[in-house]
Order: sequence, then C-alpha cells, then structure tokens
Amino acid sequence: MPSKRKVIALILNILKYAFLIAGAIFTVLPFVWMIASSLKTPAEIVQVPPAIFPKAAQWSNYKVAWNAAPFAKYLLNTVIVTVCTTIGVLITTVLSAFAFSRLEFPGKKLIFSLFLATLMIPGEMLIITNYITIMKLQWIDTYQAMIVPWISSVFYIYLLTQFFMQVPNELYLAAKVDKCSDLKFMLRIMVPMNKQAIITIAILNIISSWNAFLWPLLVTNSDGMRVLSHGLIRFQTEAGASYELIMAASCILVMPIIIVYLFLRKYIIEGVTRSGLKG
Amino acid sequence: MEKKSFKGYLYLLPSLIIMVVFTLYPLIKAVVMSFLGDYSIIDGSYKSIGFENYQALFADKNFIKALCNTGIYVVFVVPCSIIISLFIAVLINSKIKGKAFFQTVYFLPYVTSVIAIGIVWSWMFNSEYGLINYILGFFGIEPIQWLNQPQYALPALIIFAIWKSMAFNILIFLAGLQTISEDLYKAARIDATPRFRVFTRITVPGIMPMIVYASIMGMISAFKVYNEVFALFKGKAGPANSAITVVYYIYDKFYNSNKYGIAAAGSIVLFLIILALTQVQLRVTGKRKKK
Amino acid sequence: MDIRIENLTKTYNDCHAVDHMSLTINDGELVGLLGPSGCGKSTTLFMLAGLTEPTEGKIFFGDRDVTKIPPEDREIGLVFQNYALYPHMTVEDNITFPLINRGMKKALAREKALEMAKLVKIDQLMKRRPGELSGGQQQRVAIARALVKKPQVLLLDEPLSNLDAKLRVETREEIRRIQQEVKITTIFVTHDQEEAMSISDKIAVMKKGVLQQYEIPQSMYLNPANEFVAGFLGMPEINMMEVDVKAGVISTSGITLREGVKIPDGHYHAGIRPESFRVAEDGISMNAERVRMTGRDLLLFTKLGNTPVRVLVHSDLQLAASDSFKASVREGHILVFDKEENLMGRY
Repeated sequence: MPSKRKVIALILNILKYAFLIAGAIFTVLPFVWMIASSLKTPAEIVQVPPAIFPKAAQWSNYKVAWNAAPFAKYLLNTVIVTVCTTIGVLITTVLSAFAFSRLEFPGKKLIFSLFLATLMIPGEMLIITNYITIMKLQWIDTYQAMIVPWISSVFYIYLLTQFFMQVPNELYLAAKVDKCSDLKFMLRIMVPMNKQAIITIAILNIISSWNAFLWPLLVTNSDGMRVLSHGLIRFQTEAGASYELIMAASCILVMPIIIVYLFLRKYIIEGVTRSGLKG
Repeated sequence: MEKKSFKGYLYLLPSLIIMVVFTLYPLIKAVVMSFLGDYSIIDGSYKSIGFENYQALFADKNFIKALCNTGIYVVFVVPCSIIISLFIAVLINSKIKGKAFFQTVYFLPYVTSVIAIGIVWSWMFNSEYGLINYILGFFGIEPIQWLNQPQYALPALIIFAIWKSMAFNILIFLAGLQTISEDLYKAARIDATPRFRVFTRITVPGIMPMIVYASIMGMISAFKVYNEVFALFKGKAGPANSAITVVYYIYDKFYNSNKYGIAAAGSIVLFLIILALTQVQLRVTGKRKKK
Repeated sequence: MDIRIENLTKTYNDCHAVDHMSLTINDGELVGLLGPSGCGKSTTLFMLAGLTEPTEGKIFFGDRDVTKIPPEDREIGLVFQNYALYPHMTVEDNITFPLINRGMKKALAREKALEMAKLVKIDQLMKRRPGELSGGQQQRVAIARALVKKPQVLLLDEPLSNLDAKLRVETREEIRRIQQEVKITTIFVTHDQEEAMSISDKIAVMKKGVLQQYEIPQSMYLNPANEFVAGFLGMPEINMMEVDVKAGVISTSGITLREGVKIPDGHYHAGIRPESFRVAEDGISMNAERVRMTGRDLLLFTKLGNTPVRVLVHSDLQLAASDSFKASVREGHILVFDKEENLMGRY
C-alpha cells in the first residue's frame, strides 16, 4: 500500500501549501491594494469592475500627494519624535534595568513590584490626566509634549532587567576587583553584552513611536506640529475621493517601517516573541 | 553602604519621575475625578461628590452599546483569529519550504500603522469601487454598504481586526510550538498515532498557555480598540455609533463633550475589566507553573 | 605579602558562615582552603577579596589593615569558578581591562598583557573571544587577567571544578608553576582534598565555618587534628571503628590491634587508613570479601571483627574474592580520638 500512502501525503502537502499561500495572500492583500491604488490614475480608481494593477504606474501621484499637504514637515516631526523618544527610552531603560539587576538599595523589591504592577494599567486611562498635566506645563503643541511622557517604559525595563539578570554576577564582582566603576561596568560590559536585546528594544520603540496616533493628535493642534499618522488622517478628509493620493500618502507612512522590518525582522520577531511569552 | 543605596536611586531617577508624573499620579487622579460631578480641568472645580458619573455612564445608551459591541467583537475576533492562527502556525512549523518567507509575511500587519492600513481597509470596503465587494461579486453577492450601514459597520471592523490580530497570535503560537519536545512527536509516530490525534493530544496541550495568553490579550485589546475605528470611519464611530467601542466612548466624552468625570468613570470601568482579565491570566499561568 | 586573618566572622541571619577564624599565611605561599560545600570557604575568600563584608574580625595584608578597604584598592587578583570572562571582548581586551581601568596607556597595557599571556601560554589566542576557547584556555585567560595588574595576593575560587578530570590535573600543575614563577601569595578554594594536597604549601580545612586545622599537607595527613579532618583527607577514605583500651591493649571486637600503649582504659574511636595495613604472616587473619583492582593497588573489602574495613595492598599480591590473608597495622598508624573527636595520639 505504499503508493496509496504516498498519494495521500502528496495531497496533504498540496493542501498545506494552498492554505498557507491563501493565508499569505489575505495578509498582503491590503498592502498590494495600497501600493497598486497609489499608482493608478483617478479614472482607474473609480473603474468598475476595479483592476488590481494600474496600466501604467503613476509615480506622479506621490509628488502630488507630497505637495498637497506639508508631508515633509510631518515626516520631519515624526522622525524627531521617534528619534528623541527612542534615545530617551534607551537611556532610562538601561539605567533602570542596571539598578534593578545589579545595585542594592533599600526598597528595591517594592519599587520593582510597583513598576510591574503599572503594566496592568491601561494607558488609555491615564490620557485624560496626562493631557491636563501637559496643558498645565504649557507644553501643548510642542515636541516635548509628544516625547517626554514616552521616554520611559516599564515594559522595556522589565525586559532588559531579565536580560541583565542573566549576566553572571561574577562578572560584576570581577570588574569591581579590577577597579571598574558601576557606570563604567554598565557601559563597557552590560550594554555591549546585551547589544541584541537593546537593539530589539530600540526597534520595537521606533515602530510604536512611528505609528503613534492618539497622543500626538491630542497634544498638538497646529499644522506645523503634526506627525505623519495625524497628517494622513487630515489628508484623508481633505482629499475626499482622490484615493490614489490617499493611498500614496499611506505608503509614505507605512513603507519606512516595512523596510526597517524587512531588514531587522530577526530582532523584531524575537523581541515580540520574548515579550509575548513573558508578559 | 549608604553611598550605595543613594546610587541605586540615582540610576532609577529618570524612570521614577516619568512613572510618578505620567502613571501613578494620573491613576489616582482618574479615580478621584470619576467621583466628582461636572469636574472642570481648567480650574479643578466640581459641583458634587458621589457616584453620579457612574450612574450617568451606565444610563448612557452609547456606553452600553460600546460594551455590547466589545462583547460581539470578542466573540468573533478572538476565536476566529486563534483558530486560523493556530492552523497557520502549525503549518509553518511543519516541514515546509519557505518557512522564513511565510513567517515574515504573516507578521507584516503587526508592524504597520493601524491608521494607515485602516485607511487602506476603508478603501477596500468602499461599496462602489472597493476590492472586497468586487471579490464578493464572484460569489454572486450584491455590493454591501460596509461602512455606511449600521448593521455592516461592526462586521467590517471585525474582519479588519482578525486580519490585524493574526500576526501576533501566529508568532506566539510558533514560539510555543518550538517549545514542544521533538521527542513527543517521535514517540507518537512510533505509536502510530493518527495526525489529528497528534494535534489534539500533543500540539494543543503543549501550546495551551499561549492559547490562553492570546485569548486574554485579544479580549484586553478588544476593549482598547480605537485607532481601527478612527481610521475605518474617518474619525467617527461608524454610522449611528454602530461601531463604538469602550475607549472610543471615553475619548469622545473627554475630548469632544468635555465630560471629564464621566470619561474618568469610564476609564475606571475599563481598568477594572482589564485588571480582572489580567488576574485570570495570572491565575491560569500560575497554576500551570505550579504543576 | 603575608596575610593575617584575625577572628574573622561572617554571620547571616544568626547563622555563622565563618566563625572566629584566625590564620597567618606567609609571603609567597600557596594555601588551599578545603572543605565540603557550605563550610564557609568561599565566604572566607570573598571576605579576603573585599566583596563580602565581615561581621567581625580583621584582615591584614602585610601590616596594612584592609578590612574596610574596597576590593579595587586591595591589590588582589581574583579568579572565579566560572572564570567571569567578558564574553564580548577578545582575550587581549579581557586581560588589558584591569590595566586600562587603572588609567594605563593602551600600548603599554597590550605589552603587559602579552607578557602575561606568554606566562600562561595563551599568547597565540589573543584575538579570540572567550566563547571560542576550551575550558582550560579560559581558565588561563582568567589567571592572566588576575595577574596582569601585579597584585599582591591571588585568590582562586574553585579554579578547577569546571574542567574535566584529565585537564584538572594538568591545570593544577600549571597553577602551581605560575604561582612559583610569580612568587605570589595565593589562596584557592576547593572541595577536592587531592587537589588541595597536591599543590598547596599549606591546607586550611574548614567545617561549618570553623577552621579545623591549618598545616602542611603531609603533617595534616599523618596527624589530622580530629575525626573530621581524618575522614576528609585521603582516598579511599579512612576506616573508622570503635575500639576498647584495657591495660594498654587496643582491640576492636575482641581482636587485638596494638599492645603496650599508654592510654587510660576506656572506649574510643579509632581510624586506620587503608594503606596503613601491611601484609604480615603474624598479622590478623582476614577474608577478602570483594577485591577491586585500581592499577598499582588492590583494594580489599574485608572485616575487622564486625567492622567493615578497606585495605589497600600492592597488586603484586594476587588475591581474589573470598581469599584470606594476614595483615597487621603499621606502627604509629592507629589514630585514636577522644570523646570530643580530637586526636589523642598515633599508636
């Protein structure tokens, strides 16, 4: 009967790939549709039945969209906010994780539990008061309003503390005997040894900062301070039915992150997996 | 020794300041605000103290609607997403070619901006020129007014949400599958165990913790849905608030209606729900660890 | 640099990890801190290093009281059980690390590192990372890193326990050679009595935080201070038995072991090492229940009256299981202990 078994195996195999490919098509469909639409002419956009791909790619759509709203300014704002937030997050995360994993101080356990407990608080609940705080600080419509509340993340601190704890304590003691200060040990030993974890945290933070929407929407009100996601929503209402332009603008927001993802997906996938399994 | 203790706090200071100002203080403030009637954020004045915000909240049709919508959303999104994701994860984990390719593709939705891709979905749902109605047309289905008719708004949101949530679930399940010892599968093969039985008796129990985790996370995120709604319905909560969610309701009360007390009360309810779900999660995984 | 420890005590939650320990180590000596796990030997080492703060007592390096001095200012080199090499740095960077911390110029530090690497014979591995080295090579790097700053004292925590058996013997000889070449006062912690005996100038045996005996290896082996030390040193283990002394005769279950000794009559514990027996025609008749060939020697499992004993004889003596033989105990090789388990004398 081996031939029958072989046939069944072959059929199962084909079904397996068929299902995986179908799923993959479902997953990438919106991306394909976005890119394809962004290259269509206005006539192709409203064509019934719709053609998936344009006859000729209208790259000029990007130029038109780019100039239709101050996207250059939005992009700059997004980059500023993302870069500053990420640098801030890395500094505070490394410092805190080092304190929790290596230094001794009274109330350490209590503070660590407190930190962990805040993971259960939905950020949505804090936004009202934080908005008031930003208002009182007179930070509305400033970069610091978009940056400062996000330069420390308990979640990343927890993640990095776990990594730091895995470094044998003997290394710390050895460094001490070798006249290495705490700060120097952190920078020369802990940070390079956990380079991977730190890069992962940086990338995860870049993605979330880049995609942030609600908070920047709340704390900014002038056009000059808008970030890309906010600008895109505005553009969507202004552009009306010019979907080719809206899709081009969407591409501008989505593509940088996708490129980052394709190059650094190892870090991202590992980071999200780790955080998922631990959280 | 005293010098040491001082030092630890120095390292912790930046995070501590941010946490106290932007997490602990707002937490307490939200609790307080939720008990103050007609609270004003400008001068901090209020007219009464009591449960009236909570009463107003539960008397509000829209809030009840938001809770119901979240319920429906959970019932559809969580099981669908988990079953499909599990299936895909098992397939990716089996001996196939292009494993890395599939993994990369399936994870794509996780990293993309909800706003941007939500706008793409709203374009795909377009009743006249949209891709979805076009595809449905092949099956003889008449064009559906996805985003303009109340009864279709929530289904549209659910389809988008399943698409979006699969990425994370597949990833978690794949990681879980890799923790199941290869020896178990070898043993099962020697015992001539049928494929389906291998799946139900080895694979599913092996990644049960991830399934529980994915379910709870799915429920929690259901209560927090906001950007998806905003992007799909151009800042509205769907026709006639038909796709309103809990967080959408809270922000609407806070930002558009300036009912700070009610918004705070809503956020406390949200917090309690999430706290309860987290406790379930901890209980389940805790038990497992003890075993 | 000689080291003086006075009344050194470390207490954790009312429990004495190290209990009023005092000893003096002469300049250039290699001392083994020996004991079972949990005896306080590592705690002692870490107190010497300054990484653990003593509850009581003082430590002197030469004339300097270092008790309150932080580790980085004690001029010590420390090698950890797991070597604690920095995995992301090359061997060279690991060795130069302590020098650069002290503000030495890079070029000079490299020169010093190479010198040290030559001493421990790893100079051809300078550009590798610790992960690419074998356990024995990592150990040498750790020693080089500890010695490169020319410390006054070298401290080694279980330096050989992560190596396999063959490498262990080789490496311990290396440690001895390096120590003699540098002439540095060295203290190493171990739970392996053979290791301690083979390379130490002196051994300090500890039990439950208390120093039991501090002696040169041969004297300690021959004159253990108490039953614990007697039992801890030597492989195969010493035979312990109950003996009776009456009118100068030591006997166990009716068998006379020695006559004409000057001990008060009474009941005692005695220890006889397996190698203390000598095959003799006029000896005690015994039956070899089991025989184990160990190469040069035969280990016989037999009984002295009711007490099971192990007897080590030369393998020339062709004995098989259940063969009988006659043996006596060599003069001065019966160790008799008093009620407090302290050695009374050798008979």
